[in-house]
Amino acid sequence: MKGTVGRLRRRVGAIQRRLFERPEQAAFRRAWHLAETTPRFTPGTIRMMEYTIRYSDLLSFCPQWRDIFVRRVLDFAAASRSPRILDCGANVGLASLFFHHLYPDARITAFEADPALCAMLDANVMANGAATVEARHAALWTSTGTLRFRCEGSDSGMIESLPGAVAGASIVVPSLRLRDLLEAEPIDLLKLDIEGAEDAVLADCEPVLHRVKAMVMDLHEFDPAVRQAPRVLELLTRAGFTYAVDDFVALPWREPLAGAGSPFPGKPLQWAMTVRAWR
Amino acid sequence: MKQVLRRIRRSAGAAKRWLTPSAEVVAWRHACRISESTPRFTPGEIELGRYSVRYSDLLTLCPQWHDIFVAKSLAFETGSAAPRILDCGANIGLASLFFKRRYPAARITAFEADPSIAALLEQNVRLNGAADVEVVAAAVWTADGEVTFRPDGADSGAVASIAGAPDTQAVTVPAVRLADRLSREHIDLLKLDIEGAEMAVLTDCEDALRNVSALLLEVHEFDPRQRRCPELLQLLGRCGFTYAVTHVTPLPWRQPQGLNGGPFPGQSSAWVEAVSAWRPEGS
Repeated sequence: MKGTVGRLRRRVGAIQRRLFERPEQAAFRRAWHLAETTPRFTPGTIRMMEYTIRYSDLLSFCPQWRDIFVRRVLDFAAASRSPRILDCGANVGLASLFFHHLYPDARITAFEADPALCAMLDANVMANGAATVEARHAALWTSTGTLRFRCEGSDSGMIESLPGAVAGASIVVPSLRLRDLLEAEPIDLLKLDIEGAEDAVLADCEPVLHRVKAMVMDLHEFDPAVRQAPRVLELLTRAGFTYAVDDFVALPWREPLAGAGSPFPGKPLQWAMTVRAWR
Repeated sequence: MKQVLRRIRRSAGAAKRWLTPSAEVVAWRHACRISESTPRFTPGEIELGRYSVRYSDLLTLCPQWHDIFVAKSLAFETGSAAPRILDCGANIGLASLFFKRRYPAARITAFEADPSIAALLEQNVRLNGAADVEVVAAAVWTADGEVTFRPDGADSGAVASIAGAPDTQAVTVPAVRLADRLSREHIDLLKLDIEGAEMAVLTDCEDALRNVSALLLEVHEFDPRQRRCPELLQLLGRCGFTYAVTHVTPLPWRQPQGLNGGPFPGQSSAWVEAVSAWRPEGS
Protein backbone atom coordinates (compact mmCIF):
# COMPACT_ATOMS: atom_id res chain seq x y z
CA MET A 1 0.00 0.00 0.00
CA LYS A 2 2.74 2.44 1.06
CA GLY A 3 4.65 1.44 -2.05
CA THR A 4 1.67 2.16 -4.29
CA VAL A 5 1.10 5.56 -2.72
CA GLY A 6 4.78 6.42 -3.13
CA ARG A 7 4.71 5.38 -6.76
CA LEU A 8 1.52 7.31 -7.43
CA ARG A 9 2.94 10.43 -5.80
CA ARG A 10 6.08 10.17 -7.92
CA ARG A 11 4.03 9.76 -11.12
CA VAL A 12 1.90 12.82 -10.24
CA GLY A 13 5.07 14.80 -9.53
CA ALA A 14 6.50 13.89 -12.94
CA ILE A 15 3.30 14.94 -14.74
CA GLN A 16 3.19 18.17 -12.75
CA ARG A 17 6.78 18.99 -13.64
CA ARG A 18 6.01 18.38 -17.30
CA LEU A 19 2.83 20.52 -17.28
CA PHE A 20 4.29 23.36 -15.22
CA GLU A 21 7.76 23.22 -16.65
CA ARG A 22 10.36 25.70 -15.44
CA PRO A 23 11.20 28.14 -18.25
CA GLU A 24 14.86 27.04 -18.19
CA GLN A 25 13.82 23.46 -18.79
CA ALA A 26 11.30 24.39 -21.49
CA ALA A 27 13.96 26.41 -23.32
CA PHE A 28 16.34 23.48 -23.07
CA ARG A 29 13.81 21.06 -24.53
CA ARG A 30 13.09 23.37 -27.45
CA ALA A 31 16.82 23.82 -28.18
CA TRP A 32 17.44 20.08 -27.91
CA HIS A 33 14.63 19.40 -30.33
CA LEU A 34 16.15 21.86 -32.77
CA ALA A 35 19.65 20.41 -32.29
CA GLU A 36 18.41 17.05 -33.51
CA THR A 37 17.55 18.52 -36.91
CA THR A 38 20.59 20.81 -37.17
CA PRO A 39 23.89 19.61 -38.68
CA ARG A 40 26.84 19.86 -36.27
CA PHE A 41 28.95 23.02 -36.19
CA THR A 42 26.30 25.23 -37.82
CA PRO A 43 26.48 28.66 -36.17
CA GLY A 44 23.23 30.43 -35.41
CA THR A 45 21.22 32.46 -32.94
CA ILE A 46 18.62 31.09 -30.55
CA ARG A 47 16.15 32.60 -28.13
CA MET A 48 16.44 31.03 -24.65
CA MET A 49 13.99 32.59 -22.17
CA GLU A 50 14.83 36.30 -22.16
CA TYR A 51 18.27 35.65 -23.68
CA THR A 52 19.20 35.83 -27.35
CA ILE A 53 22.28 33.71 -27.77
CA ARG A 54 24.70 33.12 -30.63
CA TYR A 55 26.23 29.68 -30.76
CA SER A 56 28.76 27.83 -32.88
CA ASP A 57 27.36 24.32 -32.42
CA LEU A 58 23.89 23.68 -31.08
CA LEU A 59 24.63 20.14 -29.94
CA SER A 60 27.33 21.27 -27.52
CA PHE A 61 25.38 24.38 -26.56
CA CYS A 62 22.40 22.35 -25.27
CA PRO A 63 24.16 20.43 -22.48
CA GLN A 64 25.91 23.66 -21.47
CA TRP A 65 22.55 25.35 -21.07
CA ARG A 66 21.16 22.41 -19.13
CA ASP A 67 24.14 22.27 -16.78
CA ILE A 68 24.31 25.99 -16.15
CA PHE A 69 20.69 27.18 -16.23
CA VAL A 70 18.63 24.05 -15.47
CA ARG A 71 20.93 22.16 -13.08
CA ARG A 72 22.64 25.35 -11.87
CA VAL A 73 26.03 23.68 -11.47
CA LEU A 74 27.73 27.08 -11.13
CA ASP A 75 25.45 28.30 -8.33
CA PHE A 76 27.44 29.76 -5.44
CA ALA A 77 26.87 31.91 -2.38
CA ALA A 78 29.08 34.99 -2.55
CA ALA A 79 30.05 37.04 0.49
CA SER A 80 29.22 40.32 -1.24
CA ARG A 81 26.75 41.63 -3.84
CA SER A 82 29.54 42.39 -6.26
CA PRO A 83 31.83 39.36 -6.26
CA ARG A 84 34.91 39.37 -8.47
CA ILE A 85 34.64 36.43 -10.88
CA LEU A 86 37.04 35.09 -13.49
CA ASP A 87 35.35 32.94 -16.12
CA CYS A 88 38.27 31.07 -17.70
CA GLY A 89 37.31 29.09 -20.77
CA ALA A 90 34.11 31.09 -21.19
CA ASN A 91 33.00 29.55 -24.50
CA VAL A 92 29.98 31.51 -25.82
CA GLY A 93 29.34 33.08 -22.40
CA LEU A 94 26.59 31.08 -20.71
CA ALA A 95 28.49 30.91 -17.43
CA SER A 96 29.08 34.67 -17.40
CA LEU A 97 25.40 35.31 -18.19
CA PHE A 98 24.44 33.02 -15.32
CA PHE A 99 26.82 34.73 -12.88
CA HIS A 100 25.53 38.11 -14.00
CA HIS A 101 21.97 36.90 -13.45
CA LEU A 102 22.88 35.66 -9.93
CA TYR A 103 24.81 38.81 -9.05
CA PRO A 104 23.93 41.73 -11.34
CA ASP A 105 26.70 43.79 -9.71
CA ALA A 106 29.32 41.07 -10.14
CA ARG A 107 32.61 42.13 -11.69
CA ILE A 108 33.20 39.45 -14.29
CA THR A 109 36.05 38.95 -16.72
CA ALA A 110 35.56 36.18 -19.27
CA PHE A 111 38.45 34.61 -21.20
CA GLU A 112 38.11 32.58 -24.37
CA ALA A 113 40.99 31.39 -26.55
CA ASP A 114 39.08 30.45 -29.71
CA PRO A 115 38.66 33.73 -31.66
CA ALA A 116 35.32 32.74 -33.25
CA LEU A 117 33.89 31.73 -29.88
CA CYS A 118 35.27 34.86 -28.25
CA ALA A 119 33.44 37.03 -30.80
CA MET A 120 30.21 35.22 -29.88
CA LEU A 121 30.96 35.59 -26.18
CA ASP A 122 31.39 39.32 -26.64
CA ALA A 123 28.20 39.60 -28.71
CA ASN A 124 26.24 37.52 -26.20
CA VAL A 125 27.13 39.54 -23.13
CA MET A 126 26.47 42.78 -25.07
CA ALA A 127 23.10 41.63 -26.39
CA ASN A 128 21.85 40.31 -23.06
CA GLY A 129 22.24 43.20 -20.67
CA ALA A 130 25.57 41.98 -19.32
CA ALA A 131 27.79 44.57 -21.00
CA THR A 132 29.69 44.95 -17.70
CA VAL A 133 31.22 41.53 -18.40
CA GLU A 134 34.64 42.09 -19.87
CA ALA A 135 35.32 39.57 -22.68
CA ARG A 136 38.98 38.93 -23.44
CA HIS A 137 40.46 36.93 -26.27
CA ALA A 138 43.19 34.87 -24.59
CA ALA A 139 44.17 31.39 -23.48
CA LEU A 140 45.00 31.19 -19.78
CA TRP A 141 48.48 29.81 -19.48
CA THR A 142 51.72 30.00 -17.53
CA SER A 143 53.12 32.90 -19.53
CA THR A 144 51.85 35.99 -21.28
CA GLY A 145 52.53 36.10 -25.01
CA THR A 146 51.21 33.79 -27.70
CA LEU A 147 50.74 30.06 -28.11
CA ARG A 148 49.37 27.55 -30.60
CA PHE A 149 45.76 26.57 -30.01
CA ARG A 150 43.68 23.88 -31.74
CA CYS A 151 40.22 25.21 -32.59
CA GLU A 152 37.66 22.45 -32.55
CA GLY A 153 34.73 24.76 -33.23
CA SER A 154 32.60 23.97 -30.18
CA ASP A 155 33.66 23.20 -26.61
CA SER A 156 36.82 21.09 -26.91
CA GLY A 157 39.42 23.44 -28.38
CA MET A 158 42.68 23.28 -26.46
CA ILE A 159 46.33 24.26 -26.25
CA GLU A 160 48.27 22.28 -28.86
CA SER A 161 51.23 21.29 -26.69
CA LEU A 162 49.04 19.50 -24.09
CA PRO A 163 48.67 15.71 -24.08
CA GLY A 164 45.59 14.44 -25.90
CA ALA A 165 45.05 17.57 -28.01
CA VAL A 166 42.00 17.37 -30.29
CA ALA A 167 42.11 17.54 -34.07
CA GLY A 168 41.38 21.00 -35.40
CA ALA A 169 42.83 24.06 -37.10
CA SER A 170 46.01 25.11 -35.32
CA ILE A 171 46.24 28.88 -34.87
CA VAL A 172 48.30 31.32 -32.84
CA VAL A 173 46.35 33.03 -30.05
CA PRO A 174 47.30 35.45 -27.30
CA SER A 175 48.04 33.87 -23.94
CA LEU A 176 47.73 35.34 -20.45
CA ARG A 177 49.47 34.25 -17.30
CA LEU A 178 46.69 33.53 -14.79
CA ARG A 179 49.14 34.05 -11.96
CA ASP A 180 49.50 37.73 -12.89
CA LEU A 181 45.73 38.16 -12.74
CA LEU A 182 45.51 36.55 -9.30
CA GLU A 183 48.40 38.63 -8.04
CA ALA A 184 46.60 41.79 -9.10
CA GLU A 185 43.47 41.32 -6.94
CA PRO A 186 41.55 38.85 -4.74
CA ILE A 187 39.08 36.64 -6.59
CA ASP A 188 35.76 35.48 -5.14
CA LEU A 189 35.18 32.76 -7.72
CA LEU A 190 37.56 31.27 -10.22
CA LYS A 191 35.72 29.24 -12.84
CA LEU A 192 38.25 27.15 -14.70
CA ASP A 193 37.32 25.09 -17.75
CA ILE A 194 40.53 25.12 -19.76
CA GLU A 195 40.59 21.68 -21.39
CA GLY A 196 43.59 19.96 -19.89
CA ALA A 197 45.69 22.99 -18.96
CA GLU A 198 44.54 22.83 -15.30
CA ASP A 199 47.66 21.20 -13.88
CA ALA A 200 50.18 23.47 -15.62
CA VAL A 201 48.26 26.67 -14.90
CA LEU A 202 47.41 25.93 -11.27
CA ALA A 203 50.95 24.73 -10.49
CA ASP A 204 52.18 28.08 -11.83
CA CYS A 205 49.61 29.89 -9.67
CA GLU A 206 50.32 27.96 -6.47
CA PRO A 207 52.09 30.79 -4.58
CA VAL A 208 49.17 33.18 -5.20
CA LEU A 209 46.22 30.77 -4.90
CA HIS A 210 45.46 32.16 -1.43
CA ARG A 211 43.96 35.11 -3.37
CA VAL A 212 41.16 32.81 -4.56
CA LYS A 213 38.20 32.22 -2.24
CA ALA A 214 36.39 29.54 -4.22
CA MET A 215 36.87 27.61 -7.41
CA VAL A 216 34.75 25.55 -9.80
CA MET A 217 36.92 23.57 -12.15
CA ASP A 218 36.38 21.06 -14.91
CA LEU A 219 39.23 18.65 -14.36
CA HIS A 220 40.12 16.74 -17.54
CA GLU A 221 42.10 13.54 -18.02
CA PHE A 222 43.08 13.07 -21.66
CA ASP A 223 46.13 10.83 -21.50
CA PRO A 224 46.49 7.57 -19.53
CA ALA A 225 50.28 8.06 -19.48
CA VAL A 226 50.09 11.60 -18.04
CA ARG A 227 47.36 11.76 -15.41
CA GLN A 228 46.98 15.19 -13.81
CA ALA A 229 44.08 14.89 -11.34
CA PRO A 230 46.11 13.60 -8.36
CA ARG A 231 48.59 16.48 -8.68
CA VAL A 232 45.85 19.09 -9.09
CA LEU A 233 43.87 17.82 -6.09
CA GLU A 234 46.96 17.65 -3.88
CA LEU A 235 47.77 21.20 -4.87
CA LEU A 236 44.29 22.32 -3.82
CA THR A 237 44.83 20.76 -0.38
CA ARG A 238 48.28 22.38 -0.05
CA ALA A 239 46.75 25.74 -1.00
CA GLY A 240 44.31 25.40 1.91
CA PHE A 241 41.19 24.48 -0.04
CA THR A 242 38.59 21.92 0.87
CA TYR A 243 37.30 20.24 -2.23
CA ALA A 244 34.68 17.81 -3.50
CA VAL A 245 34.18 16.02 -6.79
CA ASP A 246 30.93 15.74 -8.71
CA ASP A 247 29.48 15.30 -12.20
CA PHE A 248 31.82 12.72 -13.63
CA VAL A 249 31.58 12.37 -17.43
CA ALA A 250 33.39 9.68 -19.36
CA LEU A 251 34.48 10.78 -22.84
CA PRO A 252 34.17 7.57 -24.88
CA TRP A 253 34.23 9.49 -28.17
CA ARG A 254 37.83 10.56 -27.53
CA GLU A 255 40.16 7.77 -28.63
CA PRO A 256 41.90 5.61 -27.66
CA LEU A 257 39.78 3.29 -25.52
CA ALA A 258 41.15 0.43 -23.41
CA GLY A 259 42.39 -2.21 -25.87
CA ALA A 260 40.84 -5.56 -26.75
CA GLY A 261 43.62 -7.36 -24.88
CA SER A 262 43.02 -5.49 -21.61
CA PRO A 263 40.76 -6.85 -18.85
CA PHE A 264 38.33 -3.97 -19.52
CA PRO A 265 38.04 -3.71 -23.31
CA GLY A 266 36.43 -0.53 -24.59
CA LYS A 267 36.66 1.32 -21.28
CA PRO A 268 37.04 5.08 -21.91
CA LEU A 269 40.47 6.35 -20.88
CA GLN A 270 39.49 10.02 -20.96
CA TRP A 271 37.07 11.79 -18.68
CA ALA A 272 36.16 15.06 -17.03
CA MET A 273 34.76 15.86 -13.61
CA THR A 274 33.70 18.94 -11.76
CA VAL A 275 35.81 19.89 -8.77
CA ARG A 276 34.50 22.52 -6.37
CA ALA A 277 36.99 24.01 -3.93
CA TRP A 278 36.40 26.39 -1.08
CA ARG A 279 37.96 27.68 2.12
CA MET B 1 12.93 13.33 -42.52
CA LYS B 2 16.07 11.52 -41.44
CA GLN B 3 15.69 13.05 -37.99
CA VAL B 4 12.08 11.98 -37.70
CA LEU B 5 13.07 8.44 -38.61
CA ARG B 6 15.87 8.50 -36.07
CA ARG B 7 13.51 9.72 -33.37
CA ILE B 8 11.00 7.00 -34.22
CA ARG B 9 13.74 4.40 -34.14
CA ARG B 10 14.93 5.64 -30.76
CA SER B 11 11.41 5.60 -29.29
CA ALA B 12 10.84 2.13 -30.73
CA GLY B 13 14.09 0.96 -29.13
CA ALA B 14 13.08 2.38 -25.76
CA ALA B 15 9.61 0.81 -26.01
CA LYS B 16 11.14 -2.53 -26.95
CA ARG B 17 13.55 -2.44 -24.03
CA TRP B 18 10.68 -1.57 -21.73
CA LEU B 19 8.38 -4.29 -23.06
CA THR B 20 10.98 -7.06 -23.43
CA PRO B 21 13.45 -6.37 -20.65
CA SER B 22 16.37 -8.66 -19.89
CA ALA B 23 15.96 -11.16 -17.06
CA GLU B 24 18.29 -9.00 -14.93
CA VAL B 25 16.12 -5.93 -15.42
CA VAL B 26 12.95 -7.90 -14.63
CA ALA B 27 14.56 -9.08 -11.40
CA TRP B 28 15.69 -5.57 -10.53
CA ARG B 29 12.22 -4.08 -11.07
CA HIS B 30 10.74 -6.87 -8.97
CA ALA B 31 13.16 -6.17 -6.12
CA CYS B 32 12.57 -2.41 -6.27
CA ARG B 33 8.81 -2.92 -6.13
CA ILE B 34 9.06 -5.07 -3.02
CA SER B 35 11.63 -2.79 -1.39
CA GLU B 36 9.22 0.15 -1.61
CA SER B 37 6.83 -1.57 0.78
CA THR B 38 9.50 -3.18 2.99
CA PRO B 39 10.85 -1.42 6.09
CA ARG B 40 14.64 -0.88 6.06
CA PHE B 41 16.93 -3.54 7.53
CA THR B 42 14.37 -6.34 7.33
CA PRO B 43 16.23 -9.55 6.45
CA GLY B 44 14.65 -11.87 3.90
CA GLU B 45 15.12 -13.91 0.77
CA ILE B 46 14.26 -12.99 -2.81
CA GLU B 47 14.27 -14.70 -6.21
CA LEU B 48 16.38 -12.69 -8.63
CA GLY B 49 16.48 -14.36 -12.04
CA ARG B 50 17.96 -17.78 -11.45
CA TYR B 51 19.37 -16.77 -8.07
CA SER B 52 17.80 -17.04 -4.67
CA VAL B 53 19.41 -14.33 -2.58
CA ARG B 54 19.28 -13.79 1.19
CA TYR B 55 19.70 -10.20 2.23
CA SER B 56 19.86 -8.00 5.31
CA ASP B 57 18.37 -4.86 3.73
CA LEU B 58 16.45 -4.88 0.46
CA LEU B 59 16.95 -1.19 -0.26
CA THR B 60 20.72 -1.62 -0.49
CA LEU B 61 20.40 -4.89 -2.41
CA CYS B 62 18.53 -3.17 -5.28
CA PRO B 63 21.28 -0.78 -6.41
CA GLN B 64 23.88 -3.53 -5.87
CA TRP B 65 21.97 -5.83 -8.18
CA HIS B 66 21.58 -3.05 -10.72
CA ASP B 67 25.27 -2.13 -10.70
CA ILE B 68 26.53 -5.70 -10.88
CA PHE B 69 23.99 -7.58 -12.99
CA VAL B 70 22.31 -4.85 -15.08
CA ALA B 71 25.08 -2.26 -15.57
CA LYS B 72 27.76 -5.00 -15.33
CA SER B 73 30.13 -2.66 -13.53
CA LEU B 74 32.41 -5.57 -12.52
CA ALA B 75 32.73 -7.15 -15.98
CA PHE B 76 36.30 -8.12 -16.77
CA GLU B 77 38.00 -10.20 -19.44
CA THR B 78 40.83 -12.64 -19.00
CA GLY B 79 42.41 -15.35 -21.07
CA SER B 80 42.28 -17.75 -18.14
CA ALA B 81 39.26 -20.03 -17.76
CA ALA B 82 39.90 -20.28 -14.03
CA PRO B 83 40.95 -16.79 -12.94
CA ARG B 84 42.01 -16.19 -9.35
CA ILE B 85 39.76 -13.52 -7.86
CA LEU B 86 39.75 -11.85 -4.45
CA ASP B 87 36.40 -10.28 -3.61
CA CYS B 88 37.18 -7.95 -0.70
CA GLY B 89 34.15 -6.39 0.93
CA ALA B 90 31.96 -9.07 -0.60
CA ASN B 91 28.77 -8.05 1.23
CA ILE B 92 26.08 -10.69 0.58
CA GLY B 93 27.95 -12.12 -2.41
CA LEU B 94 26.43 -10.63 -5.57
CA ALA B 95 29.86 -9.83 -7.00
CA SER B 96 31.14 -13.37 -6.39
CA LEU B 97 28.00 -14.80 -8.02
CA PHE B 98 28.53 -12.52 -11.00
CA PHE B 99 32.19 -13.57 -11.41
CA LYS B 100 31.15 -17.19 -11.07
CA ARG B 101 28.53 -16.80 -13.80
CA ARG B 102 31.10 -15.40 -16.24
CA TYR B 103 33.90 -17.82 -15.19
CA PRO B 104 32.37 -20.97 -13.65
CA ALA B 105 35.84 -22.33 -12.88
CA ALA B 106 37.00 -19.11 -11.20
CA ARG B 107 38.86 -19.57 -7.92
CA ILE B 108 37.29 -16.96 -5.68
CA THR B 109 37.96 -15.95 -2.10
CA ALA B 110 35.37 -13.57 -0.66
CA PHE B 111 36.10 -11.49 2.46
CA GLU B 112 33.38 -9.87 4.54
CA ALA B 113 33.99 -8.21 7.90
CA ASP B 114 30.42 -7.87 9.21
CA PRO B 115 29.76 -11.28 10.82
CA SER B 116 26.02 -11.28 10.11
CA ILE B 117 26.56 -10.26 6.48
CA ALA B 118 29.29 -12.89 6.10
CA ALA B 119 26.78 -15.54 7.19
CA LEU B 120 24.42 -14.44 4.40
CA LEU B 121 27.31 -14.43 1.94
CA GLU B 122 28.13 -18.02 2.89
CA GLN B 123 24.50 -19.09 2.42
CA ASN B 124 24.16 -17.25 -0.88
CA VAL B 125 27.15 -18.87 -2.54
CA ARG B 126 25.98 -22.30 -1.31
CA LEU B 127 22.37 -21.79 -2.36
CA ASN B 128 23.35 -20.68 -5.85
CA GLY B 129 25.76 -23.31 -7.08
CA ALA B 130 28.90 -21.42 -6.13
CA ALA B 131 29.85 -23.45 -3.08
CA ASP B 132 33.50 -23.48 -4.12
CA VAL B 133 33.74 -19.74 -3.33
CA GLU B 134 35.86 -19.59 -0.20
CA VAL B 135 34.19 -17.31 2.34
CA VAL B 136 36.39 -15.62 4.93
CA ALA B 137 34.52 -13.78 7.68
CA ALA B 138 37.20 -11.17 8.27
CA ALA B 139 38.08 -7.58 7.56
CA VAL B 140 40.73 -7.03 4.91
CA TRP B 141 43.35 -5.03 6.76
CA THR B 142 47.04 -4.23 7.22
CA ALA B 143 47.69 -6.91 9.86
CA ASP B 144 46.45 -10.36 10.80
CA GLY B 145 44.57 -10.54 14.09
CA GLU B 146 41.57 -8.51 15.09
CA VAL B 147 40.18 -5.10 14.31
CA THR B 148 37.36 -2.98 15.71
CA PHE B 149 34.55 -2.73 13.19
CA ARG B 150 31.34 -0.71 13.11
CA PRO B 151 28.65 -2.67 11.27
CA ASP B 152 25.61 -0.86 9.87
CA GLY B 153 23.61 -3.96 8.98
CA ALA B 154 23.81 -3.26 5.22
CA ASP B 155 26.59 -2.00 2.97
CA SER B 156 28.32 0.75 4.95
CA GLY B 157 29.99 -1.03 7.86
CA ALA B 158 33.62 0.06 8.23
CA VAL B 159 36.75 -0.38 10.30
CA ALA B 160 36.19 1.86 13.32
CA SER B 161 39.41 3.86 12.99
CA ILE B 162 38.52 5.00 9.46
CA ALA B 163 37.08 8.52 9.06
CA GLY B 164 33.44 8.20 8.07
CA ALA B 165 32.76 4.88 9.82
CA PRO B 166 29.10 4.68 10.84
CA ASP B 167 28.16 5.69 14.35
CA THR B 168 27.10 2.25 15.59
CA GLN B 169 28.07 -0.19 18.31
CA ALA B 170 31.61 -1.38 17.59
CA VAL B 171 32.39 -5.10 17.45
CA THR B 172 35.70 -6.92 17.29
CA VAL B 173 36.13 -8.96 14.12
CA PRO B 174 38.98 -11.06 12.71
CA ALA B 175 41.36 -9.24 10.38
CA VAL B 176 43.43 -10.53 7.48
CA ARG B 177 46.50 -8.83 6.09
CA LEU B 178 45.79 -8.48 2.37
CA ALA B 179 49.47 -7.94 1.52
CA ASP B 180 50.24 -11.49 2.70
CA ARG B 181 47.46 -12.93 0.54
CA LEU B 182 48.69 -11.05 -2.52
CA SER B 183 52.33 -11.99 -2.11
CA ARG B 184 51.49 -15.71 -2.11
CA GLU B 185 50.09 -16.11 -5.62
CA HIS B 186 49.12 -14.41 -8.86
CA ILE B 187 45.79 -12.59 -8.66
CA ASP B 188 43.84 -12.01 -11.88
CA LEU B 189 41.37 -9.64 -10.28
CA LEU B 190 41.36 -7.83 -6.98
CA LYS B 191 37.94 -6.34 -6.23
CA LEU B 192 38.21 -3.97 -3.30
CA ASP B 193 35.20 -2.25 -1.75
CA ILE B 194 36.21 -1.80 1.87
CA GLU B 195 34.55 1.45 2.91
CA GLY B 196 37.45 3.79 3.42
CA ALA B 197 40.14 1.29 4.43
CA GLU B 198 41.44 1.13 0.83
CA MET B 199 44.18 3.70 1.32
CA ALA B 200 45.70 2.03 4.38
CA VAL B 201 45.40 -1.44 2.88
CA LEU B 202 46.77 -0.64 -0.58
CA THR B 203 49.67 1.32 0.87
CA ASP B 204 50.53 -1.77 2.87
CA CYS B 205 50.21 -3.85 -0.34
CA GLU B 206 52.37 -1.64 -2.55
CA ASP B 207 55.09 -4.27 -3.12
CA ALA B 208 52.68 -7.19 -3.33
CA LEU B 209 50.56 -5.43 -5.98
CA ARG B 210 52.99 -6.64 -8.66
CA ASN B 211 51.17 -10.00 -8.39
CA VAL B 212 47.88 -8.37 -9.35
CA SER B 213 46.78 -8.09 -13.00
CA ALA B 214 43.65 -6.01 -12.57
CA LEU B 215 41.81 -4.06 -9.90
CA LEU B 216 38.24 -2.91 -9.45
CA LEU B 217 38.34 -0.39 -6.67
CA GLU B 218 35.87 1.80 -4.81
CA VAL B 219 37.61 4.85 -3.38
CA HIS B 220 35.60 6.41 -0.58
CA GLU B 221 36.01 10.09 0.23
CA PHE B 222 34.18 10.72 3.48
CA ASP B 223 36.23 13.40 5.15
CA PRO B 224 37.11 16.73 3.50
CA ARG B 225 40.03 17.12 5.92
CA GLN B 226 41.60 13.90 4.77
CA ARG B 227 41.28 13.11 1.05
CA ARG B 228 42.68 9.83 -0.24
CA CYS B 229 42.08 9.75 -3.96
CA PRO B 230 45.16 11.63 -5.17
CA GLU B 231 47.57 9.46 -3.18
CA LEU B 232 45.78 6.29 -4.10
CA LEU B 233 45.76 7.00 -7.83
CA GLN B 234 49.44 7.92 -7.67
CA LEU B 235 50.14 4.62 -5.95
CA LEU B 236 48.41 2.78 -8.82
CA GLY B 237 50.56 4.70 -11.29
CA ARG B 238 53.74 3.86 -9.33
CA CYS B 239 52.80 0.17 -9.35
CA GLY B 240 52.64 0.24 -13.14
CA PHE B 241 48.88 0.24 -13.59
CA THR B 242 46.91 2.13 -16.20
CA TYR B 243 43.75 3.36 -14.57
CA ALA B 244 40.44 4.95 -15.38
CA VAL B 245 37.84 6.49 -13.13
CA THR B 246 34.51 5.07 -14.28
CA HIS B 247 31.97 6.54 -11.91
CA VAL B 248 31.51 9.14 -9.19
CA THR B 249 28.59 8.86 -6.78
CA PRO B 250 27.96 11.68 -4.30
CA LEU B 251 27.07 10.43 -0.80
CA PRO B 252 25.39 13.46 0.81
CA TRP B 253 24.10 11.32 3.71
CA ARG B 254 27.67 10.38 4.62
CA GLN B 255 29.19 13.86 4.89
CA PRO B 256 30.47 14.86 8.33
CA GLN B 257 28.25 17.28 10.22
CA GLY B 258 28.94 20.90 9.39
CA LEU B 259 31.29 19.96 6.56
CA ASN B 260 29.04 20.28 3.54
CA GLY B 261 29.75 21.91 0.22
CA GLY B 262 30.81 25.36 1.48
CA PRO B 263 29.51 28.17 -0.76
CA PHE B 264 28.21 25.65 -3.32
CA PRO B 265 24.60 24.69 -2.59
CA GLY B 266 23.88 20.98 -2.94
CA GLN B 267 27.52 19.94 -3.21
CA SER B 268 28.22 16.86 -1.11
CA SER B 269 31.61 16.70 0.57
CA ALA B 270 31.45 12.88 0.58
CA TRP B 271 31.51 10.66 -2.47
CA VAL B 272 32.72 7.33 -3.79
CA GLU B 273 34.77 6.93 -6.94
CA ALA B 274 34.89 3.68 -8.95
CA VAL B 275 38.32 3.03 -10.42
CA SER B 276 39.46 0.27 -12.79
CA ALA B 277 43.17 -0.45 -13.05
CA TRP B 278 45.09 -2.87 -15.24
CA ARG B 279 48.48 -3.62 -16.71
CA PRO B 280 49.13 -1.78 -19.97
CA GLU B 281 49.06 -4.12 -22.95
CA GLY B 282 52.46 -5.46 -23.92
CA SER B 283 53.86 -5.15 -20.41
